[in-house]
Amino acid sequence: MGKAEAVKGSFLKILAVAQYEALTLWRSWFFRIFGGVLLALVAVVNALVFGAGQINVWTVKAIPADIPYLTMLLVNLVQSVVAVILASDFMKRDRSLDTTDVVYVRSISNTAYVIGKACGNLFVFACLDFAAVLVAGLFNFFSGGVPVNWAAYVYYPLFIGIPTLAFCIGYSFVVMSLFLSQPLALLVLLGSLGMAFFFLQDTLFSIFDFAALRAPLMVSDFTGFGSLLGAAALRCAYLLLGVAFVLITGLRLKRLPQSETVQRAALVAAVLAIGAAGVIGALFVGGNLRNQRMRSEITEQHNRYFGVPNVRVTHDNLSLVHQGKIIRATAKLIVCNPGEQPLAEYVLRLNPGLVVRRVDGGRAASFRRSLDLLFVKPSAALPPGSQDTVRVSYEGSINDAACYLDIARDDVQKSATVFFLHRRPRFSFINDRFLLLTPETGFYPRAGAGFSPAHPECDDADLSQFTVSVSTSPGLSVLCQGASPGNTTFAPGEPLPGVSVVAGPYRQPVMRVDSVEYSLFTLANHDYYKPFFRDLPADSVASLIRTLRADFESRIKISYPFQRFRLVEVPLEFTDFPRLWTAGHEAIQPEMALLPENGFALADADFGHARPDYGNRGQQAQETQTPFERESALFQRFVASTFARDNDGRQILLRPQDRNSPTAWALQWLPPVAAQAANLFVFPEYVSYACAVHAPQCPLFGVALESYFRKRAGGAFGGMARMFSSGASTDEKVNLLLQGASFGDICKDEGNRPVLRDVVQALCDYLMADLQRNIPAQSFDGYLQDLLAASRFKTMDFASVCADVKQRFGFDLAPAALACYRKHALPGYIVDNVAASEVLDKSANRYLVRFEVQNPESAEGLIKVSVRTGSFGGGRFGGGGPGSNRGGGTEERMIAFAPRQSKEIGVMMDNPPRTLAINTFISRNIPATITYGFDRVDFDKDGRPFEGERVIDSLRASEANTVIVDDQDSGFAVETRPASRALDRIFGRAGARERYAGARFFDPPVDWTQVAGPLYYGKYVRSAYYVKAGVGGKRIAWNATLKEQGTYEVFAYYNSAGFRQGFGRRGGQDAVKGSFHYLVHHDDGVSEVPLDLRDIQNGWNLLGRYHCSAGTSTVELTDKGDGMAFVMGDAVKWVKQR
Amino acid sequence: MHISIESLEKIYPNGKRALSKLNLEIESGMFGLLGPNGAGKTTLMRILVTLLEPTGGRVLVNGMDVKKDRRAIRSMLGYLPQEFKFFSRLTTAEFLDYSAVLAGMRKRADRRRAVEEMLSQVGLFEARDRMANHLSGGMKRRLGIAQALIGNPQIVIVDEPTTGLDPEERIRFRNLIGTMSQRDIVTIFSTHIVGDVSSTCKNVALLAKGELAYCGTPDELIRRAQGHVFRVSVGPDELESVKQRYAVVATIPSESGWDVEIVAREGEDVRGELVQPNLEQAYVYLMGRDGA
Repeated sequence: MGKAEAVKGSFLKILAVAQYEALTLWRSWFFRIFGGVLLALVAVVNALVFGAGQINVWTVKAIPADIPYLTMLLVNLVQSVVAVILASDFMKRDRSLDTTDVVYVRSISNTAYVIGKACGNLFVFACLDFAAVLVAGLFNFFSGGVPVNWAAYVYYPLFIGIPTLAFCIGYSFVVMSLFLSQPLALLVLLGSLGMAFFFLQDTLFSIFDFAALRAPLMVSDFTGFGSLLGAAALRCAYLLLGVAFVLITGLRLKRLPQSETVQRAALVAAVLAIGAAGVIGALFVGGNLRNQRMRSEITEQHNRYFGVPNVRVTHDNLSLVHQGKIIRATAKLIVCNPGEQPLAEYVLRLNPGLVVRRVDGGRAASFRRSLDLLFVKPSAALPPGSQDTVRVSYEGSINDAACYLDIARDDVQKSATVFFLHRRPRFSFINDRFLLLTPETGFYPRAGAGFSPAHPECDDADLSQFTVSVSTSPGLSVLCQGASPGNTTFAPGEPLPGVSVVAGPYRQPVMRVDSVEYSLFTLANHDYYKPFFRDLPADSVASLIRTLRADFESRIKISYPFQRFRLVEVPLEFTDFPRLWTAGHEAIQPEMALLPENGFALADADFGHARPDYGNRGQQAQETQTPFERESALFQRFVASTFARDNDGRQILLRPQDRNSPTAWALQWLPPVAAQAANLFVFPEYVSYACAVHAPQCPLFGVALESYFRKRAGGAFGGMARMFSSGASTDEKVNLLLQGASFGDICKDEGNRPVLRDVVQALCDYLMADLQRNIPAQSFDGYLQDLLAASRFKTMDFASVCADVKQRFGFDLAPAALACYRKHALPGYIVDNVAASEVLDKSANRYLVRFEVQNPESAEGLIKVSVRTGSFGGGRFGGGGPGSNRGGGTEERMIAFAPRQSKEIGVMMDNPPRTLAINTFISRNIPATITYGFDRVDFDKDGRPFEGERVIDSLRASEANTVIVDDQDSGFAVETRPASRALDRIFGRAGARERYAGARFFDPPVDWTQVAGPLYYGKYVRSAYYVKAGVGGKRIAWNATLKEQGTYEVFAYYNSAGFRQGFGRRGGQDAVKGSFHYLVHHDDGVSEVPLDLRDIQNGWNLLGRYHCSAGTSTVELTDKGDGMAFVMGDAVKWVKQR
Repeated sequence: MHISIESLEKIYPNGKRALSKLNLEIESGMFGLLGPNGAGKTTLMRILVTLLEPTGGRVLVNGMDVKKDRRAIRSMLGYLPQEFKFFSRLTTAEFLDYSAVLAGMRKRADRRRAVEEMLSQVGLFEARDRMANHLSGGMKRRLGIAQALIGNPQIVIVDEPTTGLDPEERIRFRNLIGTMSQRDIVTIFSTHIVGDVSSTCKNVALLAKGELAYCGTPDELIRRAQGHVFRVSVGPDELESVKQRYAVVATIPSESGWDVEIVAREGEDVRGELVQPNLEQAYVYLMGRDGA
């Protein structure tokens, strides 16, 4: 028989083995049940996705290809395990059943036999994959409203399912061939795969992600996969590994010694396959490591060149040619020397993916390139105040790895996740049909080295006059700041901090409303929103826009500075990040907002299921509304929540429309799943892009100014929300950080990057509060408005502002601002003797909130006092809580404290006070905002009105016969179980528990755990301990040192509102049942004191009167619950009786 | 077709010697392999079908060594093992088709025809769509022989195929096997049931404790036992003592007690009527009283 015949014969035998293996698998009850359950699960999931009003999943539906993507991820995860079990059964079966002998003795090579078996298994599972996506496809097709991307229903099973199956089947085969025992082999198989899934998902850039759960496979209508090679590489590697494992199994199988030729061929093929997989893996990891190294080298270079005297760019004439996957550009820069010394070298930065061909013009004599920096040497040093022209010619593509140097890799990775799906975060796009370049990509030369990790606090942006001409492929609309599209030369009338260029196959409706031209650029088939606004004519839209803009500008008190506002749809991979020193970010450019593809990341873009804001008319009005009214409301809601609201950090959660639905019940068992919402808050257009703040001595000033206006524009909630939160919020984390280090040191520590924005925000709040305190209230807002208006499209100089403030208000801003950077001790505030009463003020009854605050520390400080007033209906605790104030308002005062100073503070108001919040800003206090509730306010006939503050010697001293032990004191003891400590060590949790975590009443811990919150007792740190209720075996203890023997009344501290918070949604007395069990040790023994929760009052609750000797006296609290979910203990007080 | 077994030895890893310097020549036609349990029959079968490697000696199949030319020898084989369980999720026809492909039949049409013919031949055509594990014991055996025969192998090895079958099935099976002996193939029929061999095999070999006790025709084996088989009448009380003293192959009740047929060893003196021995008695004569 010739070789060809032999090969053909082998191939036919492989097919036969595959066919009958597939048939055997298909007919097995286990597989049929598994397949049926899987298809049912897919149907249920898709029913939830497409069912009317079930769950909010526009983020998935907006990209039609995500439907099969999501389906395949679900299927792949489950079938990996089943494939492993069934494939391992193949080897076991072949060993133990003699039936196989009749097949074993056939003239078929081991390799062909194993390949046939593997192919049979693979075929059946692949059919299941396609069946699953078909189910999803049918739902997609019949649902209407969401177009079907049929190609995705083919390539997701191929991309996701096949490589995973090949790998799992091959891996199972080879492990079974190594181990004699199937149970042992299964243990190894499932254990190793489980390890990869649970622990190694994020290791080495997710190289162990065999099930494609982290692979960036979202498909864009703009760019497809983006980089097919990137998306397919690891999948290909797993496929090759699967093939290699199958070949190795064939070599190890003992049924038939193979011919030398077959042996060699199989071995070579296996080695090549493993080698290829290894090369792919190495290239993948190597590429990522190379990028990391490059980023590290770039930032080191930036550190070296930070602060080096340099030019500023005043004009940039950019000529850009878009050719397929590259750009060619020439930038003609006019630079000036703003310093006092001549400049022998200009430092410019340009993305390292762009190769500089030539630098000439003006004085430019030579240049050198180092990573992203371009050093231009003029023929003669540029004198101070002089200008020069530099022309830079360059070409290439953008290296995204050089962007966002200030953003940690983990944050970039997190941004890749959209619910369970993954996209490749990209910052630039250059391909045949689409171009997107923003300033962050560094596609044109800019002055200076840019971000320096050693000096993250400094980010000085220039304003430059730009002229941009763009040449691209026919059929692409070009967009840039400045002139209307259709032209290719753009000349924004104003100097800007940067420009961006977009070119794509857009359709564009345009509308002019008053002085601003509004336009929307989307892909041709991405107008899913149109059916929802059919009855909304253009002039109504214009009117709505006018109204919404007016409403927004009335809050911010600034008018829109540009002539155009364009909404431009960009690919789903486009990612941006909030910045530390400015509200500006890449998704919002001057005159432009970059819309996520098909609105997938917009929280309110699901018009089919959005509920319009009916305002005061209530939902009943829905039934009487006309389509026009409904659509107007929908439009208003969308625009207001997308563009007029600060969505920084907002998450899109999977949530059911009906909280009582089975869907809601099912979702509660899933871990929280969220996608990051796009933030298209237009605020940067008004402030960040309309002026630049030059404040090298105090970069905080610029961001503080922005922050002030931003809060006004976004309507952020403020301090009152803190009352019912617990645990260390970002404010507390900032305080903990600042207790140990100066701001400068905090900035330099890369480990602090996740909280750096919060540190900056806290310091800005403090700075503005200080400024506000020193400038008369009626002048403060106006002064800042004027300052901003005067600086429109100019650079605001901090030194000039300081001089102006000093001249107008006699306040030296600079020291306060600069003090933020110096290491300093933090103030701490002890609040005591809080009381609210009704008093007679002249002839009218008014209300007084009076309290004392002591700052015993050596640092000065500032607190903001907010008293919310009015009568309350609803709310969780019979009053209080955001949004439930009726007929009242908020009284605010700013109080400064010198070191070691105490003050008595009074606030007068016309309405009854309900809550008092004291925001300590940056202090030792945990939490940072201390809150008190007033359940009732009585008339004090002896009370005197008191408005303002007065210095007192100290707080009214606590009584000499009183001893208080709080959980923060040394006398407090809590036992931890050795097993818990061991588990903590094993799982690395020791010490990793977050300090001052919030209480999780619905899932209390099994060991006593400390929690922080505004309603607990404490000096600076207001904390308590809680534990899941048990049988009394776990205890905490308060040990007091009593100086004298005698009779003592013993009290336990509770804030009734704070702990009733834990009793479910309804709260209130009715939900509170059970007792806490205290053990009071005294001279006559130990008394068990059940403290009935229904009797607990705000403050100190009497446990009893006992005779105690001098020395240590102990009170314990057990975890005995009496049907309670948790037990809580805070502080204990002994009061000696006379 | 010729199989030559030369000084074949097989010692298992646990030290058990299953075959000891076995020499045998097997020509085309039916060849019976007799022996008690543990004689080494199955070991020999598995060596012949290349599932086991011999420890010593060699086996040549038409000049090809089983150690070196396994693939070529397997392409000539049809094998029905002793324990024959089924792929439970294939039908009778599917299983046979699977075997046909592995036997080298490529064309689908040819395979279909061959499967139908074979199923008819073994009387399973009506059960072609039945799941293989739903067949009766005898039908399963027939399917087993069908899969061994499909593809026209030149060597067919059946290992204890009639174990557990009722007499009717055994007869049917023997007839089927007998038909095969018409062709120019080597059919090795291993059994411990003498009757199966007597009616079908041209030559038989007797194995005992891994060694060859006899190789030749069944008639020759019978001739060896001539003069050594007696019928004796014994009283009711004498039966046990006769059993202890001689190899009793039949016990027939009579008016005076028992008529017993005895196989006497060489030199043993028995007062009784000489009987013409059959193959089973000849087997007992050669293998000794306990067949060993």
